[in-house]
Amino acid sequence: MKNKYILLEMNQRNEIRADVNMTIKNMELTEIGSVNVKIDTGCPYTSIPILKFGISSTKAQQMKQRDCADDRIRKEISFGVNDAKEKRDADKEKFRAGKYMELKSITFQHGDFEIDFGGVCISKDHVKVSYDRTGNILIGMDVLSQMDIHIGKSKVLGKTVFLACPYVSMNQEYVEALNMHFDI
Amino acid sequence: MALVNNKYTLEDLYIGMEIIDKDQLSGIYDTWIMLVKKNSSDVYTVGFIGKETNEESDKLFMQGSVVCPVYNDSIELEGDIYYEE
Repeated sequence: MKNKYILLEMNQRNEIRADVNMTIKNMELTEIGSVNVKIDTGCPYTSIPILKFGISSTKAQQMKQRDCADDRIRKEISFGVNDAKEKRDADKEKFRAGKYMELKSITFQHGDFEIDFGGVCISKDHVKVSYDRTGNILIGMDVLSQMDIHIGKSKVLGKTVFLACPYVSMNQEYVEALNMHFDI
Repeated sequence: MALVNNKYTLEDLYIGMEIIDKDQLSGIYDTWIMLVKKNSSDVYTVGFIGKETNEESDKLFMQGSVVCPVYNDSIELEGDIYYEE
C-alpha cells in the first residue's frame, strides 16, 4: 500500500532517516531500493555519494573519469563543515585548473532524479553525485522545499517526528495526520 | 537456521536466499550484502556478500533489477561518534 504522506521518527542519534527507493535515470544505473538516507535541512542540495549504493571504488573512479571528460556535465566543489580554509583554497585552485580527478570534493550533476518514500515520490531535474565521498546520502532543501513539512513532538507517539507531504499531492490523510500528531 | 530476535547472522546467508525485510540483516556489520529483486517482485534475494564491493557486485547494477545495498558500519556502534554534515 502506498503512503499518502511521509512520517519518520527521529532516532536515538538525533537523526531523521528513511529507507527510500531512488533512480538517477541518466546515469544508466538500475533503481536503488530501500537505501538509507538522512534528512538534512542544513544542506542546500541533495548529495549522493555513489559509493553508498555499493558501487565498487574501481567502478566509481571509471564513472568519475567519464564525467570529468564530459563537458556537458556540470561540476562543482562542495565542502563539509570540518574542511579547513587551506583545503578549500587548494581545492578551488585545482577546480579552476580543471584538475577534476584530483578532487575528492567534486560533485557532478546528473539528471532525472526521483526519490520514493514508500509511495510518496519527489522528482528533480538533477542531483549532485560524488564518486569519492563515503558519507551519508543527504536529502537537502532542494527536495525538502517541495513539501509541506512539520517537525515536532507527536502527541500520539510521544517522540519527535518528521511529517511531510509534497505540495503537488496534498491530501486529506495528511491533513488528518497533522491534526492527529500536532493538533494542527 | 534459527533467527535470533528475527535477525540473521553472516553464516546464515547464501546467494539466492530470500530476504523479507532488510532489518533482518541489521546484526551483520562491516559486510556488503547486495539484495536484488525484479520490479514486479516484493521479495529481495541475496545477490552478493563481501567485505568489499567489486566487479562481481557491480554487475548487479546493470541487470535491470532493483538493487538494495546493505552495509552496517560497526563504527556506528561507538557512541561518541556522530556526523556533522
